[in-house]
Amino acid sequence: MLTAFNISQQGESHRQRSIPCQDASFTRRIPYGCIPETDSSSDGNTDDKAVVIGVTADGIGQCAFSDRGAQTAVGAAADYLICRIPSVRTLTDDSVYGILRAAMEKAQEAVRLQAEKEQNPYISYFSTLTLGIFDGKSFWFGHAGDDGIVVLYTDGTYEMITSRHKGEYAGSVIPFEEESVWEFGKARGEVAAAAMMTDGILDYCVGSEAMHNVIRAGFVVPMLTNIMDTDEAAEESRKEWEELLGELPEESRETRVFRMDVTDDITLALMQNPEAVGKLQDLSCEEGAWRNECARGILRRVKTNKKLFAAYRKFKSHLTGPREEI
Amino acid sequence: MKNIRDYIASKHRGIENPGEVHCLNILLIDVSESMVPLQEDVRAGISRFFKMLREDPAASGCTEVCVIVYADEARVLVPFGPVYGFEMPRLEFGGMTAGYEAKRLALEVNKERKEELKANHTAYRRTNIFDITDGRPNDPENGVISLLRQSQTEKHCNYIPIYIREEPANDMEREEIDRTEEQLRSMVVGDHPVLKSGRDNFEGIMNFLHVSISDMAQSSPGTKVTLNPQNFQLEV
Repeated sequence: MLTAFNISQQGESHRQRSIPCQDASFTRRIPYGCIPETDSSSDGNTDDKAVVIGVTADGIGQCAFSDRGAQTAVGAAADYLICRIPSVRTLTDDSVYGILRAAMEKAQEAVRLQAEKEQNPYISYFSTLTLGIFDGKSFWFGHAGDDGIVVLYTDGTYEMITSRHKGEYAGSVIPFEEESVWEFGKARGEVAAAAMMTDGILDYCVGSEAMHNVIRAGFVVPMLTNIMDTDEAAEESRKEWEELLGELPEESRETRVFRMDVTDDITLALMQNPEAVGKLQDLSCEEGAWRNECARGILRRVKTNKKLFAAYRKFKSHLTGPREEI
Repeated sequence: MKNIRDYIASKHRGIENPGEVHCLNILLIDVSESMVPLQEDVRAGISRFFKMLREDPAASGCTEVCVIVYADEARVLVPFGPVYGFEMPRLEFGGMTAGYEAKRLALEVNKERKEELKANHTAYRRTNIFDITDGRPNDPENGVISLLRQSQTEKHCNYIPIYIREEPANDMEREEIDRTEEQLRSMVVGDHPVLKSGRDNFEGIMNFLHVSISDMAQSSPGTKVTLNPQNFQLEV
């Protein structure tokens, strides 16, 4: 039986500035192949044909109502998926991409209507949006923004399967309301588990593009291989993550350390095929690749700075005559 | 979950410093004939500007400056360089005021620099173009005002004119000052006014520029930074 949970929490930086949590998320297991008249809600159906869906959104920091925009986008996309998926007979790439695109369009429309109703500029509701559909083997996604999805394959390898849609300036992001960046895709192999994350926690455990998106194995492998074989186990996992990431009043030492590193809002949506994950319990958490990329990063910076200021150094070396006293 | 708790508790952190976010600044300096009486004030102000930037820990590590001078023609005097160890040739004053050519050159230089930074995976903030002048350009405009406004509207740069002039001695001079200010204002997108300075407070204006850059260097993209004492806001 596929399992999933999701959490979204206000980050330290938002707490200190009294900004509400601008993240939103949703997960649910949904049967498909149902006839249209039957109840399409998730009811603990353990038959073969079911998927788990995940939806995450991160409101753009400077947009006044982006917390509401993110919630609306997630709610509208989730509602559409819940209604639409049960009547799908077979999950093909084309059918799933069509469903994901329609879900994003519904989300876009819902946010626009909300802005009109509340008589505020549409731009003030902007957010990212990422959708995932997992049938226990294949993982399809629709995505816009700097959220991301990391998957664990049944062969024990793992990678981030989305790209970060960053804006031109440092820290800026392209929102999902900009349709030209919408990305649809599918993980390249058979998936055992997937983690959907907003940028706060994503950037903690996945290196930058310059670091070839290297995965921080010590954090990601345990996250993806912790078995949740029942809904109760998934709920237990959710509570543990909530506590670890700092939602509850009792703050452990690990929470304090984590919150020093990740000050942004935090969203984590985990989706799993427990049977497949069960075969991967001996995966190594060794971080050689991460450490190598970090070390290379230092050298890369030195090299980059030399390159960026080559023209200036050449100018300086040829500078003759009087100079300004600065 | 125990593994993750142990991992976090052991303070495993990435060794890589992702690097500073580069703050790009272009100084356009009018070195035409009319600026000759003001040259020592300009020199003192620029000297103060760089000194304060170098001594500012928030700004010094990430600020790049390019200097463009304009008189009969506009040219890049110093290509983008870091403020620490910044050197520039002694300014030479005299000639006409190719102000429009200088603005066009600034826009080109800005675009090229950003492409270079992007190609090298280096993050940057919106460029500030500071234009230190005592009067209106007298070279052909050729659509530069429109380009400059478009660049600001599309958030490629902030354009901040700094109008340095003597106190008007008569109504005619006062009218000329007003016309110049209006013309400079027409090139600005946004609510911020043209910064005005007399000879005696030009150093103060340059000090204010340094503080502005320092504040911007520490701000998040998209935020509006209030620049005192003129009390206007620029978007980072």
